[in-house]
Amino acid sequence: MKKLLLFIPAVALCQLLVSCDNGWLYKPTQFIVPAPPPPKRGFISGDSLAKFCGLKDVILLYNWSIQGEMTPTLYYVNFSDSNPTPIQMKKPVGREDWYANSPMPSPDGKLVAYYVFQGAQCEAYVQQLDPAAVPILVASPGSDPHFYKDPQGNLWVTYANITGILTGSLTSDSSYVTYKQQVNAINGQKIGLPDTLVHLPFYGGISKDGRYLCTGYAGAYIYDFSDSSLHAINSGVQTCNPSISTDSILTDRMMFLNFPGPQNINNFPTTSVGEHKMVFIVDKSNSLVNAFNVNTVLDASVVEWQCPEWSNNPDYFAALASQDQVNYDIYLVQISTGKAFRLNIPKEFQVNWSSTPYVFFAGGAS
Amino acid sequence: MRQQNRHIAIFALVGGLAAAVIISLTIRSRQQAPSFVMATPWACVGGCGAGGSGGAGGATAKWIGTNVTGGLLDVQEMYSSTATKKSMTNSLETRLSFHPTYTSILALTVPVLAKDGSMQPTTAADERTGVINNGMGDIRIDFQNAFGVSGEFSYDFTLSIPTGDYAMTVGTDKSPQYLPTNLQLGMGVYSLTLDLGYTVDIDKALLLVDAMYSHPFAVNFSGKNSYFPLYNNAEAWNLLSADQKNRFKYYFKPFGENDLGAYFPPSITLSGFYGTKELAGFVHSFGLMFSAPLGVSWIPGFDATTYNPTPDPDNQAWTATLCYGLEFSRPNFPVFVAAYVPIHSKTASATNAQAANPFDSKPMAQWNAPDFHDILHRWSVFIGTKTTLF
Repeated sequence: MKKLLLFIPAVALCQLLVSCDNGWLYKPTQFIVPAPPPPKRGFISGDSLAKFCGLKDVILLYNWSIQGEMTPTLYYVNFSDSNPTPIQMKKPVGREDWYANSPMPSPDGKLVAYYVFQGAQCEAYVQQLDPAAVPILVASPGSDPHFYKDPQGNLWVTYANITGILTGSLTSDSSYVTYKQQVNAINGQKIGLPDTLVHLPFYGGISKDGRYLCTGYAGAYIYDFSDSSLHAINSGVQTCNPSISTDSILTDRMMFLNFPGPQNINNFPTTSVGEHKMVFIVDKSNSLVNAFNVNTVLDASVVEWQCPEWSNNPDYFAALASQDQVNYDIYLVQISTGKAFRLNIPKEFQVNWSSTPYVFFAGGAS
Repeated sequence: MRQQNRHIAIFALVGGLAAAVIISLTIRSRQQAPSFVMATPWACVGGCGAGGSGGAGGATAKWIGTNVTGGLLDVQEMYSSTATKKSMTNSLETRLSFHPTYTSILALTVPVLAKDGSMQPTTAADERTGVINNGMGDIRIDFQNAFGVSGEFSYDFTLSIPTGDYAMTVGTDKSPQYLPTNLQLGMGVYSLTLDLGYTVDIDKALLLVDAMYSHPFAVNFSGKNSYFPLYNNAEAWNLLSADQKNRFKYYFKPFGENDLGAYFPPSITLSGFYGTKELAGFVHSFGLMFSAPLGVSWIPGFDATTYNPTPDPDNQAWTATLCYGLEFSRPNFPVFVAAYVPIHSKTASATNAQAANPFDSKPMAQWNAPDFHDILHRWSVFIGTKTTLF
């Protein structure tokens, strides 16, 4: 009996010693689901798109991960290809498990700016629009980068040094800063050191004339460089997904997604609005320019918009919409007509609620 | 060799040794029972302080004092209040015990917890205060036995069973967030603890030394992780490695990883207590407990829609606890009060050492100097009674 009692732990001990090559205690590791391969047939043809907007030289950028996994990777689809197929972009080395977000193409479409984040950490990158291109770090911390081409033709990337700030209001001088960093227009390499734009974090980009910045989330604002004034938009109501106008003349406008409840926008009824039902365009005087109700633009079965983003063609924006708040379709919406066109084929492919689509028109305005 | 096999080996080793000790000592104690005399009949130490590796439960105190005798069932009630900078835990533990043999005790401990604290998933979001959680914690079953010529040695096996809720959330339906581990009611894993004790009986005093090893492990009777049914998504499931799949489909894991991804490493604890009853009717006790986890604990991601555990930046690489207890030694209804003050290694979150890479557990495993800023911001007080029934 005693021999048996000693034999069992002795055998176990031997087995344990043999297995000690990699440490004898369990060590948890980070859980990362590998990036999924892109679908072969997930998007409509360029010819179909051309019937909607007159062009098929259009590129869609978005992030995607398997449902429930918060480690998205960036993809792009070129609708001028005979069979538009998503192309996966490389993630920064060591950041495979971070959340790649908000791809923004450069004015010529050769580069993409985006940021990755994990918790409160964020890094802004620039990358050539090529599956083999290596990400170039622009800023750490860096969030919500956008391109800006100055009158001299120099290319800059604007970014904030904090991500996802949700404090209720911005003050005139915060510890969070929006910078601009010059980059090489061909390869995206940094040139010189960043310049401070304003001591406030702005997430919605800079207007074409360089005069306005916009931001959103807990409070939406448009900042006017001409007189350093801060204009509250929809004051007291949270907003989502801010993006500045891409028009070269009407530059003092921003687009955002609503939060539920009564809105505080001039010329818009004060009745309550359901969550993410509306995409608004508002100017710096907080006056309504356009409003897009998801049930009017699409149909009554659609529950919400997500992630609207003004296209480089100022007559269009890209947005997600869903009937079940689990699977989302990608739409291109024409602002002047209020008509929408779905870019994906739902039976083949749908995205997540935070897939941040951007539609880039190679020729700019049609 | 695969890691899974290694863990089975560890568990077999611990289990085998435990079985060997129990069986051999039980045989010996039966043989010696007729002439056995407890050296310290006024010391009740085992079980009172044993069990688990901390985790979500409140603190437990080691009752050192006289014993109550005469009934079939002993009942102990211990109320405790444990404070930290960010939380307050009140606990009432009911311990029912009886003596299967002259030298042994079998006990069931049922804790009821009330917790109040705050949480802040990221520094970019506002701190959520007034987070309340209450209910039953993880129950414990322990078996202790004294042995040796005069009963100066003891062993105590404690099994902690995950009856406490470990997946409580707050937030909206669309964006639920898990409460931090210290505000949950349970660990979500089992834990087996072996406590070996040695008692030196001095005239009207007692010196007690204990060595304890706790080994959490996971059992899932359904075989499936019900919180993250990734196996229902064939696309994702097929991308996973075999080790990754084991997090979502398993019946047994020989380590303490629960279904949310929280991991509780094994731990060792060494303690020494000195008790004296020089003053008639009272037993004073002073003690020092030192414990260290054999690894870094991991916590679930706050976002309850995503399986994303991370190393715990508040992981304490070592903890030393100063203990004082006072028993009012009434024969049938003693009362015990105690105060514990822990001192711990400075954590990664205190130095912000994890900021560069929150998944790198090395800063959390680092043994640092004491965190002097946290001393007396953590403390526990206890008050307990015991009696005997039937």
